[in-house]
Amino acid sequence: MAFSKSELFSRKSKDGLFTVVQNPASSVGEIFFVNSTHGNATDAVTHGRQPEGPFATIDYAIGQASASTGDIIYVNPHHTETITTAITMDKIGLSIIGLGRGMNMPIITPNAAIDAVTMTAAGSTLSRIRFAAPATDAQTADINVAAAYCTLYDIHTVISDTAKNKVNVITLTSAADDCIVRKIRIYQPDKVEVVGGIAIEGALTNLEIDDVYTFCTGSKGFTNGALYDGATATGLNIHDSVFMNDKADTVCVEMGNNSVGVMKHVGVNGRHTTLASNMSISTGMAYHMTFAVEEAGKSGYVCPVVDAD
Amino acid sequence: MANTELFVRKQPGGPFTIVDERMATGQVYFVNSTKTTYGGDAAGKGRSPDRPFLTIDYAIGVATASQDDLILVDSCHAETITTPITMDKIGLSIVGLGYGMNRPVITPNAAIDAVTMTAARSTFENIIFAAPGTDSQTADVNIAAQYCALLNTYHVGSGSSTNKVSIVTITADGDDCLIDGFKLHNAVTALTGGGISLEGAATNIEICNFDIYDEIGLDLGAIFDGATATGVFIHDGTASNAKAGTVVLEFGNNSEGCVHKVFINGRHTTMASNVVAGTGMAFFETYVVEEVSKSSLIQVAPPVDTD
Repeated sequence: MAFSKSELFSRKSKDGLFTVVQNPASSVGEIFFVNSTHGNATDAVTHGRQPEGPFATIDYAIGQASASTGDIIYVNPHHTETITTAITMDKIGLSIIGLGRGMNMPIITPNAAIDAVTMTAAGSTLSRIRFAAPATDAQTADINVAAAYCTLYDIHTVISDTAKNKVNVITLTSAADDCIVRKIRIYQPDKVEVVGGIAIEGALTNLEIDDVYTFCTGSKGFTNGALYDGATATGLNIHDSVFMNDKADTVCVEMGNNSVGVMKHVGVNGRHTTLASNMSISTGMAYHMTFAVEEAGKSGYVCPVVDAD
Repeated sequence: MANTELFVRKQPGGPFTIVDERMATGQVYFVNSTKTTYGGDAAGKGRSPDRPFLTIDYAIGVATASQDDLILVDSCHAETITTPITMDKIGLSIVGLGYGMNRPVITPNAAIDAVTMTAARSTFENIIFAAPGTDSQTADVNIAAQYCALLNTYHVGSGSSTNKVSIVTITADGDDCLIDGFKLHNAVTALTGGGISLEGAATNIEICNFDIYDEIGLDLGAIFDGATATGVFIHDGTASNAKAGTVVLEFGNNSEGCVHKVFINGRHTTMASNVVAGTGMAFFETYVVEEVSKSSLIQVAPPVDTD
């Protein structure tokens, strides 16, 4: 009986060379490398297949990837990229993964009124990327999710600078069914108010939002809320997160379009006048271990009101 | 085409190796103090586990900034230090090998910060800090640069008649840093500082999955601020302080952020007095006791926002 004691397998290329893969499950497709800081970085077909000769931009790497083959683009932790046109993830099943440990991750600086990254192909994954404060005012979003089965993981962002802001941080259209938004850190410095944090702008189905932290200071915050729905989404699972909005008299978590689902282990850190007014309660959501404050220095109180009948 | 994360690395006078780019995009160095026969702090060493460097500090000196070099420290490595290990190469990671509690051990033996991170993007991971050999050791780790991470570290706070002032200190330059998997055990001598000190007005500090266990005292608290930090996110942990009349979480400098899913085990006189909330922190799902043999109550410290 044939058996293997190794996780390493060889693969042949058209040019006759072989490479070694560690585990076919981790890289079933092609692998590309991006690093703008490398001396050999070039956006040319001769590059991108090894770390010592990487592509210079993420967008070029996407152009070289194939759809539906599980391709992966690894971005060096020192990669920096200022973009004036959107990075469109339009290859089904493509993953873009920032390398590096801990807080050492690549940085994208948006410099136009654009969605910096827009996911239009199903099964897209974006992981371990830091978005800097916008270099242009009214940048529409850091990430727009417009396809099913997409994943955002370990994304950090600063959402305003002097006289410049982002409109939203993450937007999810009605096409963003069955998506995961996990480990997101959104920092709003004392600069310029923005419209929203995570915007469920379409009537999508089955969205998990997990481990999100939004922080605001200096009475700057979100006009529409740190998390809000612009349509009636269904199958929401929002959990283990803290949403903050430091703007006075403004909702923090807004579900006015009556999205349907569950919220659990969520802290709502708002500055509206009452606890209740910091949350716009959906007629379709159930709330478990959800607590709110309307001022700092306090412990949260159960919100919305407890089901006691 | 490339279908792999594995690439060959060459070394002068040595064999080639295959490295997974997900593990390290830069050079990889090995440190193991027990390999005294073939290892050494010298050129030509440090590039294989069989001929490692003997000290972490020497390995840092050989590493290059801004190429994400990785120093792997053998699980049997033990090092007593009298001068600080300064992480001054941008993007450098120092990672202890071994599983569970089988990790390398650093024993500080001077009134120093044992490890100080002065270069941005530094990561220090999976290493044990033993009880101090010298009294009033200032800290195990001082974070003084942006985008640094302290991951899965274990700290013994004191020995017989020797203590550390604090375990981790974060200066005003420690913006956007992460402390994940921090464990402190202090049982012999009270610390004159405390567990984690937000000593500077840093921004965006995350402290998570921590266990601060104390049997004798943390004079200034398990986590405390010495300045007004902002963007603080403390979650999923247990913080204790066994000293009577002493706070557990202290935000008297009005740091801004939130505490989420934290268990507070204090000995101050009331549940509320175990937390100094300040004016900038919000608290969600925090549980407090002020004596043993009791179950904790949720959301009593600080007082609940009911208006």
